[in-house]
Amino acid sequence: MENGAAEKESLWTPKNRKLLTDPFNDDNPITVQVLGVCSALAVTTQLKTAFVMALSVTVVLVFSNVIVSAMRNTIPSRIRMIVQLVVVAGLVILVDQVLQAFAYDVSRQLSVYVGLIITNCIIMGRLEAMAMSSKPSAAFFDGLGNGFGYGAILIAVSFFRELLGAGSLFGYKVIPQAMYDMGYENNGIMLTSAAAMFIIGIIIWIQRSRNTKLIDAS
Amino acid sequence: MHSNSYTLRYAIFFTAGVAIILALAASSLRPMQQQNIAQAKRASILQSVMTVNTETLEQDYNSFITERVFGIDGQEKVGESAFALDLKKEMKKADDVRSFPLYIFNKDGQTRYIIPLQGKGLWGPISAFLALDGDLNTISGVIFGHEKETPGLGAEINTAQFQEQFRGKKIFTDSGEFASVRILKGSGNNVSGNPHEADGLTGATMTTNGVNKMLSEEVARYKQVLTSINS
Repeated sequence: MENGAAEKESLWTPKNRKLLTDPFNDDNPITVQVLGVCSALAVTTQLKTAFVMALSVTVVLVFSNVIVSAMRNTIPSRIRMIVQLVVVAGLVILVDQVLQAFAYDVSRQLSVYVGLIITNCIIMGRLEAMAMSSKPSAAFFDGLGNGFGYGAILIAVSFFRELLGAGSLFGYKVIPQAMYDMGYENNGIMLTSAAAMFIIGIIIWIQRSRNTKLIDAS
Repeated sequence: MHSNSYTLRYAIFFTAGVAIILALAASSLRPMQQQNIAQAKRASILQSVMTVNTETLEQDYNSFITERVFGIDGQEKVGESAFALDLKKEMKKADDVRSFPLYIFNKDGQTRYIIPLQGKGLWGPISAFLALDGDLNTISGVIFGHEKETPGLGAEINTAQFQEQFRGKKIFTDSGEFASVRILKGSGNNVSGNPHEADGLTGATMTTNGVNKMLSEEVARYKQVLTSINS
């Protein structure tokens, strides 16, 4: 901490930068690793909820990645998954308790996500793939990158679902009343989870056709 | 490979450590949490009848709201606190021993009667504060609350847009029959002409069913209470 600037510079290596940026495209947790799809279907009816969820998962992902990475050498391999789960669940409950005491409104908004954060496969996936085998600094960037990569997809999906399903963005009506008067109707299918599946499918399709690295050789 | 005894010790100490941290956090934060919960309840009660200013909340609540508790026959139960009453526990009791809390709002000569309600949503409990006009029939406002309904679907019950449509609806028909207000299935129904119907939420049928049950069965139990206040 004393030589914060020097430490920051040494952290900003090409390798760490790659950890941070890869999850946006080549290694996206949802479209490439296919993790956390369940929550991407559940909470993307509105931009606001998607945003809150993305932020919460990022925070938990970063902290649990760093904690598990710091204790990776002491964890007995046979019970490592349970240990990871305890770290994640403990962290989420702790944060929720603190929010309930000091930021009650935020906590009420988050209450429903708590369970979804703990069970999000991205968190366990990254703990297994990254935190158990790398230094805390690398795990930190990996957590941040994957959290943002997850958030990017969530926000893209919820943008289309809220716009087409409810005619609004962040709760504000964007489709003018005149359109409705002319016979335009909100698409109810967009509010169902099935629509999120289609949108994610289309995103994966576009991503794969543009990024040749992702196309399977077979 | 770690030895068995190491694994066992690790598991025991690790879980115990996390448990202690969580228990300490939960018990040390409890007073603040309960204060927040009580504050939120006061805010919801007031919100059903007026715009709430968080700074003057406690003062407004104390000066405008009178808390009263009744039996199902409309007899007032003296000595019970409406605010401290646990509705979930009360609902498990038989009707004739149960207590029915009522909040009476009085400001500038206007009187509103606020009925607290409790019910089940899809994933957890839902609640409501239903405010009636001085005629004990017209709904002047309602605030729904939920703990874990799905965001964007069931959770929509506590949006202003959903709650606003109940204003002006009536719980009794013109001939005095209890009819309450029923939420229809799906959204986009035309309910403007019917004082006993409200537009529903697509994808939130289970949650709105819970709300309907609250509004019909629970409000119906207040019939005697409302008549005795009226007389």
